[in-house]
Amino acid sequence: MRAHSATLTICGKDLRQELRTRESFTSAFFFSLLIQIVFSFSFDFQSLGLGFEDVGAGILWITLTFSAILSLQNSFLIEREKNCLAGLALCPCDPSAVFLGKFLANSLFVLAVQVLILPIASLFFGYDLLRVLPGLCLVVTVNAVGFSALGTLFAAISVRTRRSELLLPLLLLPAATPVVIWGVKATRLCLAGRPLDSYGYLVALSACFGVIFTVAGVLLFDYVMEE
Amino acid sequence: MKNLNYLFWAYTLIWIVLAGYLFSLSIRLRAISSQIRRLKSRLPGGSEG
Amino acid sequence: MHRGLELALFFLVAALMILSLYCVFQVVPNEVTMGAVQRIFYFHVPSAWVAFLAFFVVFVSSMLYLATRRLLWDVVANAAAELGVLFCGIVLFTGPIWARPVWGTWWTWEARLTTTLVLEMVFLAYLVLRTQAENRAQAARLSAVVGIVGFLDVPIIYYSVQIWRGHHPIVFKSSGGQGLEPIMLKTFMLCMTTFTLLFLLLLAMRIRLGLLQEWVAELKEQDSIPGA
Repeated sequence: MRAHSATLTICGKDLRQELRTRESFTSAFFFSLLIQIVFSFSFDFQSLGLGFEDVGAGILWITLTFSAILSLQNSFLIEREKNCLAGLALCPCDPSAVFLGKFLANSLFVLAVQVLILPIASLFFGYDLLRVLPGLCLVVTVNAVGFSALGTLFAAISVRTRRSELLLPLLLLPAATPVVIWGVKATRLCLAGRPLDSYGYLVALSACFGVIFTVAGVLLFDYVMEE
Repeated sequence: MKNLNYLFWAYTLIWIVLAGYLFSLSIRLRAISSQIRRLKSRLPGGSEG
Repeated sequence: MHRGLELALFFLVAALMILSLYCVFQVVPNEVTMGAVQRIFYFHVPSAWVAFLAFFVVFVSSMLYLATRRLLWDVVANAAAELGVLFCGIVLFTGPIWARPVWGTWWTWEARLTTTLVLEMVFLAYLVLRTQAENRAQAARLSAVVGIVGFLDVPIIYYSVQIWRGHHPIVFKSSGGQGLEPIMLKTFMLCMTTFTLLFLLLLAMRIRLGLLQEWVAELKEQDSIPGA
């Protein structure tokens, strides 16, 4: 089977499954929503005199990080529960195509949740996101994709172990520190209304991160999928 | 000279950590040696290559 | 490693350690701005170097394991990871002890300390993964992948934390910021050598333990000896 068609097939399978059940999306979305609500209770921004520009980056990225972990976990947990891990491993195609398919689907899931969460955050925290939308979309997309690249590989690793729910965050969070740092910094500059030149280099760095770990995933996925 | 307190604790901690690790290594080595002895005694002939 | 060689290395490390301690406490002059507490630097930085070296060993042996599937390389990777946790821990203990009298605070999100903290978490995740795998072969294989990816991440993490912090506090300057005095530099290099050899010694011992454990596990499987 040609590699790119295998990739698209796997991605399509995951998307169709998700559209049918909407399990992963709903849980990730409601989880993100709850995090936003808890933040509002924990830090009373208005009384502290802080605006969304000050704390929005942190909130958005904590939300994205934890809901992305949920999505990533789910994408492989579903395979394990339905005993499909072996099926994935035995696909008549390059294992890297399986990785790319999964990675594409995971990136789309993470971004889909963000599409809904950003307007809600805008509503909760009284901030007009439309002014900074293009820049914000760029930052969120590039960083979410980078996060998914590493996350897909680590999710595939952790799903095969006994305590997969514990292991994925344990593995992913320290390793994804760069993308979180760059994402938060870029988002903060973006929300403050700064032009793209001031945070463009951070987006470029995150893009490099994504590329490096996509390549790493492509090369190493074979070893992970062995039985 | 109060800083000497911190200096002392820093080096003492380093020593404790290293000594602790060496101790744990020796305990594990002793455990594995006794396992090997037990295994050897259970084998026919009493000795293993 | 041959027992004789290991013993020789042990005595060498012991002698160098004594010499290092002598130099750090008797030979080297007091640092101008920080006073006596700056001497922590002579063991703090070599520990960080050893933690990095350990990670490098994990990286190389992980690749060798995936290429050859010889369990020896997995034993080496595991041993190096354990030592990495140990020496990262030393850096994370001595850092705050140094920071407290100098900057007035126990913890500071300074670039290098933060990087070491993240590195420690990566090492720990590596070790936890090994315990949670379903069988020996899977533990070796999955942790090898994590070891490779983790090491590739190390420079990226370091760089990103530098960007985050935006500045680089100069903590290793002696008299009037003219760089390290020669005697300080020599003592520092001596400590680096001592710690590197200490790492090699501990690595050899830990590998020996690991190989014995593999051997026993293999024997138990082969001969199906109950109990033991």
